Amino acid sequence: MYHPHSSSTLEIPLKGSDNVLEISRSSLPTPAELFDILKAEEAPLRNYVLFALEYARQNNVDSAIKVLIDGLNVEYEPNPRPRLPLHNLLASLYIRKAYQPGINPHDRNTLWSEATKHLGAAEKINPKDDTTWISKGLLLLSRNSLDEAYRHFKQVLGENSRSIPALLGTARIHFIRENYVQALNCYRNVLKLQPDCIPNPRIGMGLCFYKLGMVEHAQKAFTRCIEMDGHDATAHVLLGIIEFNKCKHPDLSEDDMKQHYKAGFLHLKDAYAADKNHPVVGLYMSRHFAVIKNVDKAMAFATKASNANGLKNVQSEGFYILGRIHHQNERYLDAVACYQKAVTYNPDNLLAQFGFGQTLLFKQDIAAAISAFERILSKEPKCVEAIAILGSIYSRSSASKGKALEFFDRATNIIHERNTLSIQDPLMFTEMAQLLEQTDIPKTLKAYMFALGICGQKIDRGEFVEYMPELLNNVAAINHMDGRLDAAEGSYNKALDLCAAKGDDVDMATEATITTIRYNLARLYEERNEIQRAEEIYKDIAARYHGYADAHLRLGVIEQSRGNFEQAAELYKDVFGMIDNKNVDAWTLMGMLQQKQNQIRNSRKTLERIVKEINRHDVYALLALGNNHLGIAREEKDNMAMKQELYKKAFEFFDKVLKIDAYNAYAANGIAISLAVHGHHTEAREMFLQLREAASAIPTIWLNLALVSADMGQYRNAVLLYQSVSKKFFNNEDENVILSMAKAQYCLAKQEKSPEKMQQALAMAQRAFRLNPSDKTALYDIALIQQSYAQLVSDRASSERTVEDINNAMAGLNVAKSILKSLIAVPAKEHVYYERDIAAQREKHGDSLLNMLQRKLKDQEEFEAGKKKAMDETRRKREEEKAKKDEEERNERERREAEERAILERRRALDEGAKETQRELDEMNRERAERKRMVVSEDDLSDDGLDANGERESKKQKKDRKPREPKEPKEPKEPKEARKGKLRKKSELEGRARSKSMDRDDDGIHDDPTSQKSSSKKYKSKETIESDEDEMSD
Amino acid sequence: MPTQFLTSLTKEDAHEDGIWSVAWSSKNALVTGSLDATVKVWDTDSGELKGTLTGHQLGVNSVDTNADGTLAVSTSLDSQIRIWDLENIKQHKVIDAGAVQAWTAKFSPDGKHIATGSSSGDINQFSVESGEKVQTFEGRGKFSMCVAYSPNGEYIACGTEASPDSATVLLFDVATGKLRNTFKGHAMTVRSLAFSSDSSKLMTGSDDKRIMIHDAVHGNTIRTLSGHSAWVLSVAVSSDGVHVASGSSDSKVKLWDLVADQCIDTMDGHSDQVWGLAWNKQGNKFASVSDDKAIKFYSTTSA
Repeated sequence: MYHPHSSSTLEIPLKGSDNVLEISRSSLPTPAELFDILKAEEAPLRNYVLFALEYARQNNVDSAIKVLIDGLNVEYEPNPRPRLPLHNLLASLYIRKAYQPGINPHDRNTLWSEATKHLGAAEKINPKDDTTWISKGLLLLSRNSLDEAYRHFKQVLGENSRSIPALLGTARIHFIRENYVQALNCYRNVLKLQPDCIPNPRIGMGLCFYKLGMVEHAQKAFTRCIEMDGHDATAHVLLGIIEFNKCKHPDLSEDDMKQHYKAGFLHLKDAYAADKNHPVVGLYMSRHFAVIKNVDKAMAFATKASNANGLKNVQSEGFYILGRIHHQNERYLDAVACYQKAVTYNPDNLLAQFGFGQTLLFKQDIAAAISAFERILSKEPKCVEAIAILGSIYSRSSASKGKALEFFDRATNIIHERNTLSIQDPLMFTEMAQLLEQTDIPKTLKAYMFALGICGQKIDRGEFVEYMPELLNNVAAINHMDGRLDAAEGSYNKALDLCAAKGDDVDMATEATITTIRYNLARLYEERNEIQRAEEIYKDIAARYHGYADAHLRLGVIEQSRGNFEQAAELYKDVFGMIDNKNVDAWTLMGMLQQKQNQIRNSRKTLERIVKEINRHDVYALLALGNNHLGIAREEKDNMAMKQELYKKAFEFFDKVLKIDAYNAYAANGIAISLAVHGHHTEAREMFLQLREAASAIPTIWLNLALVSADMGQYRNAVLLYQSVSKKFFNNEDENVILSMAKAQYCLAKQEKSPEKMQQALAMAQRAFRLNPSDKTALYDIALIQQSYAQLVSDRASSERTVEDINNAMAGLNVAKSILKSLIAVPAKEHVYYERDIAAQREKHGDSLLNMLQRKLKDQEEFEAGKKKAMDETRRKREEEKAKKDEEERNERERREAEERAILERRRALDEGAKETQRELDEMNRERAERKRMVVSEDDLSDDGLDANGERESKKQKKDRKPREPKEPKEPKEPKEARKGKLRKKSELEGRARSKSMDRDDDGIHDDPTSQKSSSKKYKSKETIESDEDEMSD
Repeated sequence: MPTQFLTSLTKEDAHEDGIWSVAWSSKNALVTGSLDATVKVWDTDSGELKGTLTGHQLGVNSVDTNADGTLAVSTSLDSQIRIWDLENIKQHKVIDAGAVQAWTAKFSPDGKHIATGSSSGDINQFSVESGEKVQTFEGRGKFSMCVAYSPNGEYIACGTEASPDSATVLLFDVATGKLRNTFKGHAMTVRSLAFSSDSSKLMTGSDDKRIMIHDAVHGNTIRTLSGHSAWVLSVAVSSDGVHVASGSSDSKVKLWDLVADQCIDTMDGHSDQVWGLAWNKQGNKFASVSDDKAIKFYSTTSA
């Protein structure tokens, strides 16, 4: 080691004299001037070394090198020996230069080869020179050949165990190899040998202490450095770093944290004051400015650090900070570039690796992002954040959902393992929940609750959880979906409160969240029938954010439900006209509305537009089109070829749907209708039954099942089905369903020839009529049923009807007549579902029925009088018989009693003389008493037997009597036309019911886009809406 | 604290089929009309059947009693208007209105007239004494589903079937016979309406599931009550004007407090459509009738 401060001047011995030329250290000449002097005076090479050292001390390495090269080139010194120190010094200067920050790799290699060259020359002069060996060791060290370098230092230390550079080099190698104890020992040796050594071995010691967890010792070491040299930037910055690292301790209070940060920053400031170019200092300055959001300064320092060539870790960190700043400011492309450099300089910079992965995701470079996160996992297999993100990435593609869940599970397990809250990531659970939403609702809710729990604890710790409202919204949505409306409302409101707590000037994201939550809340109000509250919210949303299509659509649906079709249409038009021309929901609702208004052609056009221009796989539109064609096919009465063609088209649509969604109950329903239409009733019924099992919430299936049952003559079944569907799905509000029920009941009554059942059909028709009194079809049906009732009463045997029945039937015929009269009188311009001339024929038929019943009334009265007489006669006879029998019985009983009395008397006479036979006598008496009881019960039995015989006999009589009765011809006077009319009417009833059930098809679907389709949307947090919608339309 | 009403009496199977209409007379007789074509008279205290009135051929879809509680009027799908003597429980008079020409009927407050709605949308006023049609209020061509006189006798209101222009509630001036106001709140059929006892407000119930309260004099809508999940079939106002009862095809009876401005109770004792509601004169009791054949009586806890 040299000691440059021994004097303030350097001397050059003058040639041929004892005098010297003194040159002040503070005003060194240029290397060229110096060389001129040295050459002229033929100064020894030793002097070249001294000047080079002085240049180097003044950080003028290039001049030092120049002087040394000049020295090597002088010809006045022929010996190689004095050249050795020059070579050594040159080598170490080159190494030093190569180590300088800001150097490019090519230059550095050049410098290293220069160094190698000179060390080679030195070795030639003296293969055992310590300095050469040390320089070689240092060169190897800087080239990262640790083993070789270690060998060289060891060699030197073998010769001279006190060689400071060798000790320092060895310490460095130990440190790099993380043998901190050995490294510490080496530094300690240096300290003992040379307490004021530069570089200060205390720095190395402090670093070892720190690595060994002896933070206080480390701090002491660095502090001592500063005491020795207040300008020791390294010591300052290391003290700063220790303080900064303390801030990261999780259990630290906020105040303590601030305290540490402040202390750290003070050290950093001192370090910066000491050395403005210290790369690590620059790095930490940059970090500091990033923390306090002074972006410009942070960028400047980070850029400088990133240019610290040769210091890969510093460069990596510099680029990382730059990347972070870009990242935070959403300049993702810049961020990606910086992160990429950061990980290139140091692949182990995991934070940079993480940022790199995150920004790659923004760039949609998914594959690269995945490998970035996988790299983190290869170093840190339990990095929950990376696992969670990978899970999240995989969850975006339906193909890798299983993989995603694996990762989430892995993350969950690690979290459970570590059981500390600080690393729990609520977002991961949120994503996990979103992933599970489609498959496992209870697990989803669990994941959300987990996330909420973590957030709750975060909030308890005073942390701010930004996405808490979204989380609450999602939890609420699940409760909402499962019908726990109160719980859902609570969560929605809580979420809104949290948003409100953010103050007045909320950012865009919060605004969007608030809107989503309010929309969901409105949906909830709708479900609770608090339509007005819902409406207010939708209106407010639509006014604030005109582009929020769903709010407009819901308002439309509400208007439509109130019968305000025009307003509804306007609202739907607003959406596809002004907001989004490709909004499938809006077009679908429009198509359904047109259908409801009987604008079949328009409806079809609207729906075709969806399939042709927006999404040809849109299941809702395809189904609606199928139903639309089905409806027209049913209405088509004249052109049978056309009818078949329409049916065919309809089933093509259903077929398409089934190809897209094999389990679509609506489409399967359509196919079953096809079977029914083509007369395959049994198969159709079978299919409807299966469908009802699978999709019991779809009224159409029930209705079709009822229809097919009726077609197959299973009227009782059909009536039961209609009853249950009417109550279950339509609150008994749907006139057409009830009319269909009445029709099935009517057929049942005819089938069973039962006037009582016909009365029930009448009640059903009345119910339908009451629901919609302006519909004359129901009225016509009432008249028809009244007449049929009269017919059935007329057809009945006198013994099975009463005068009252006939009177009732006649009164009914009168009502029917008045109804038919009014129906015939309906002005011709009014469209009606019956034919007026047939109604007229019906009226006449009623008259003839009335005449007939009038005659039959007389017969019935006579019959009943006769019957009454016969019955009276029978009763009288029976009474006589009974009296006679009673008489006989009484006589018999008296006879027996007399007998018994005689016996008793005889016994008593015997007893008089023989008291000892008393016991015998008692026994006899008991025996007799029993016999008496037996006699009595025998009497009872015979009575029963008589009654039973009597009844059997009367039944037999009835049976015998029947054929003897004059047989009435069935509907004898009904004109042929009237019969035809009746049949037409039947098909009319059927047709209407069918067409109505078609309407219901559509209603079912119509509900879907609004309730199911958008409802699935409402349960998502905003971020996932789009992706989910894509899935919906798939 | 809003007044509470409790179910005080239930008459199951009060008719052989669904009960479609009800009226509570000032002499505390409850008159019910049913799909079984009969009209029955009940004692509102004991719930005892006082008599069954027959004559209608089809379901009885409206009943009303006159102000002094001596007469009842009923209309049926058979288009007959029948007036009944409530004291002797027997028929008083029959008016044949012609097919679907008398859908529902109401007594005028002075008991001299009966107003009925018709399929043409016109309101016909018949004289109770002569049985003759004495006046016609011209509607707008939409089937008139329900009618009501204002208690002061100045107006007749009617609710009609669904109309594209939402003009489903009409108010006529009795004196001039002219249409006075059109209320455009409901686009769907209005099946029931009722005036407040001071004649200032008109309550209407509609298939749009809502109840609207209109200012009868000025024609503006004061309030809309929503809560039923299906059609509102019946509305009735208590004499103090505080409570509105509503019945729906969702089988529920709802009780609204107009002072507290909220639904204070929902009774779900019925199992089918609730077609009729009637308050007693004091406004502390009411009755509901339903397609489930039951009559239910409700009274305040204090009554």
